[in-house]
Amino acid sequence: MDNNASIFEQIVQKRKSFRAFDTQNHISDEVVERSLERAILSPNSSNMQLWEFYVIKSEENKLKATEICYNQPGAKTASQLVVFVARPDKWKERQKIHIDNLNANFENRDSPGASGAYHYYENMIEDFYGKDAQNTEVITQKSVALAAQTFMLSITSEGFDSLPMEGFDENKMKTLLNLPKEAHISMTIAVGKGLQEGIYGPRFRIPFEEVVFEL
Amino acid sequence: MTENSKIFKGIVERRKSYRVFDPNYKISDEIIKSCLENAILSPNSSNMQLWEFYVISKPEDIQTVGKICLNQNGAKSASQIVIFVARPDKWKDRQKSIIAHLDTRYNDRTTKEAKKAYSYYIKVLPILFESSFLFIRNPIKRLISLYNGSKKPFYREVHSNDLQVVAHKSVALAAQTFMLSVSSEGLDCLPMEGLDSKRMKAFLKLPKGAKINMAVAVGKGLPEGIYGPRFRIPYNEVVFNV
Repeated sequence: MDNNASIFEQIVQKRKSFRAFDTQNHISDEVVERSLERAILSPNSSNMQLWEFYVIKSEENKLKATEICYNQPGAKTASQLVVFVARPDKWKERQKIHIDNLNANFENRDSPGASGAYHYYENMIEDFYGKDAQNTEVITQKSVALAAQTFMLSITSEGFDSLPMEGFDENKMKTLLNLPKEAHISMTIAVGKGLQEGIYGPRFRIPFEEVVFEL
Repeated sequence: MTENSKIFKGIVERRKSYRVFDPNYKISDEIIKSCLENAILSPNSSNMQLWEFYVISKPEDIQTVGKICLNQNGAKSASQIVIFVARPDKWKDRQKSIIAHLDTRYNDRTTKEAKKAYSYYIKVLPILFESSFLFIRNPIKRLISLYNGSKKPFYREVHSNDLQVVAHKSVALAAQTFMLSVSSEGLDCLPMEGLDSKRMKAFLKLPKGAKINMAVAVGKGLPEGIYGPRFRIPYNEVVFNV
């Protein structure tokens, strides 16, 4: 195993969900920014990037968000909270950005590869995003989760810790963030320097052979 | 920046979706195994681990799966294809495994800490997974659903979609760990969502309750497998400080 792979494995092993953070040890804005810069490089469905990230830093909003997360100790003691949001409702905006990007990349519509790309974003994309709302929610939520995992691993690589939370009042969180009802909150991730007492027990995983199957 | 952080950045930046792989390059089983070992350490909802991973490596199976993936080039030239599956239908099995694990941790179920853990898995989880309407977030919508549900099977779908979303999100977290792990090995991948999920389930002999999350083709990417420069919406248009 080369160096990158073994360091990656260490980062993965080191990541654990901390339920308590050191309130004296603040994570810097740069660490969160760098981690979000990496998160947005995650693969995502049709490269539509129907995601948004809300960094909650002000004490006032942190307090509100913590209440919305049912006052979980992880949220209460977090240095910052980052809310990961799926925005299926923004698909037309993204479609327009993609077509502008194709216009910038291809000299004209007859250039090699251009017709397929235009057809995809001008015609096919509506089938995926403009029709079945439930299906669209699943697609966008998956992409946001890919970004969330890059973010959490990045936070670990920076020497900090995280706690992903799915238990919260979604409507109230949307109100706090001024989001429309079509937006979906994927998860809220608390970040900070984890405290040992924030680990409730040893890691438990279903054995490899019970979840991995080779055909 | 820490040394690990720089290395992590490099792994993230080198990951790109390749649409063509070197057909002569075979990734060893050990590498796939170690990437999946990393994947299962991903965080997931209530630690229920409602996920399964199917590794396809026989050439004829790769061709079959390639067809199910709508003949995408990336699929057909892959060294292996790993199918990521959400198993919300297996929640009772997982609940049992977790309770068995708690039994190894606590000699006495009556201590404060033990009580909390047991009651979550014994009492709270069944409410989440069994109740037909608790997952609908808006109370008015819930009432409408109940009303509609009394006439036709409507609210169940809404409910199962929410459970599906929960399971899919967790599987996607594992998929991203897997893809970054593949990148850390100097290898490449292509996540595919455009596939015939019905045929995929039939091929994997999965029941109706299982959900295909994505198929990830892995291999040694070829330069012609990159169709264009990376394109991202600018940071300031997707990240907001509040």
